Amino acid sequence: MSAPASRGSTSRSSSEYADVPDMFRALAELAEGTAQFQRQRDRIVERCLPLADHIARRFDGRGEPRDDLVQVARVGLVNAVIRFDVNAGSDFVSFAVPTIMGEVRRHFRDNSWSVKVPRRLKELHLRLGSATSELSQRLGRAPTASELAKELDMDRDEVVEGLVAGSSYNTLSIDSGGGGDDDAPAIADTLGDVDTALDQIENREALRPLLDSLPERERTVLVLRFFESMTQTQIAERVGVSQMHVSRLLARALGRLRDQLE
Amino acid sequence: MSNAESAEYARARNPRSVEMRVSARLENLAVVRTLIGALATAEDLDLDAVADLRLAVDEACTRLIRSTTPDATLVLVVDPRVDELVVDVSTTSTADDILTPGSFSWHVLTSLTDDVRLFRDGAELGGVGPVVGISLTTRRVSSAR
Repeated sequence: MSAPASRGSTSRSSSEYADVPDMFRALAELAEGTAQFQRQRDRIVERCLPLADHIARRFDGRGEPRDDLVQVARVGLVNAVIRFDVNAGSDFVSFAVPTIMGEVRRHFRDNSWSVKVPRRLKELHLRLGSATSELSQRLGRAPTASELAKELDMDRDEVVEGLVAGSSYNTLSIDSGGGGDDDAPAIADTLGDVDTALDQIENREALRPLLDSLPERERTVLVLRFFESMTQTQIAERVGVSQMHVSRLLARALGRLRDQLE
Repeated sequence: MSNAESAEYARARNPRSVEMRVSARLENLAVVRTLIGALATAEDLDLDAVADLRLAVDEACTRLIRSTTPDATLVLVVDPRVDELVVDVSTTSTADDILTPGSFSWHVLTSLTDDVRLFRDGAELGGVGPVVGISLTTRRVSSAR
């Protein structure tokens, strides 16, 4: 395997690291677990650090501290160096880049801000969630903050704060474990009446295809709320998600329609 | 009545009323929704009404923002009354199709709140232009008070 001098566009980054394959070959000569092996591997990692830092920079400005990103990318690099098999014939850079990117992406997934909510708030959110559904059953409508405070024997202000905070923490919602949006059971029978319901709308000819183009679940909650006059709590029960999630689906659906109706 | 006067009037009428002014830009709607959600929750609307009002204010503000210029000001006045919560949103605009009765937007707003009113005032003294606004009323649940 000689240096791929004639390779086109991919060779820029590869040729920057043209000496790396030889370093890996030297590593392969050494017995695993020895001090020399370790030292040679460290040398490769050090040699390739610019690659990790370069990838970290590409994810800059997405709300994660720069230092953390560099750290995570470097972990990805170490993993790539450990896993790379020089005899498999592939180029180290094209092997390492997806590995490092994968590590950075995992970091974003696991550490997005919404997960870093204080435990106290999460617990409060859960208590409010279950008290809300209990009270909704009992009252036949959604409860107020005062009713929740009384039910939970809590300070009213604390309940208000918890409710307000909860509504801005997306991933805290009780149904967040429920996977994608479109795997909900379709409520086909409720959608049959859209045509008659649409009669009250003036520009229904324009609206109809837009409704049809909405994702299944968004269309369902939209129709139930605006054409069947169900409350958000009733829809939540019917569709099997939290009221907060119904609210988000409605907001999203209205936003889409708004953009397209203009 | 001008924007400012209506706010003065609301404040004079009700010491609990809250007013918010932001640039008439869509990116300000997140904070507007949060404020409305917090106020409506603290005012003891039931949680469905709170969620509906957030959607309604979002819809009304979007209509207004789209009919004005980015340097215009969007004014929200939340006026808690004994048996209802009234939210007035307004801005300066010369558009005459802010919200057409019978349109989908109108249907959405009337589904989400108990009463929807359009209001329009003459040019302000400063010559900023005519004020248009949407007034949303949500009634409190009867058993709460």
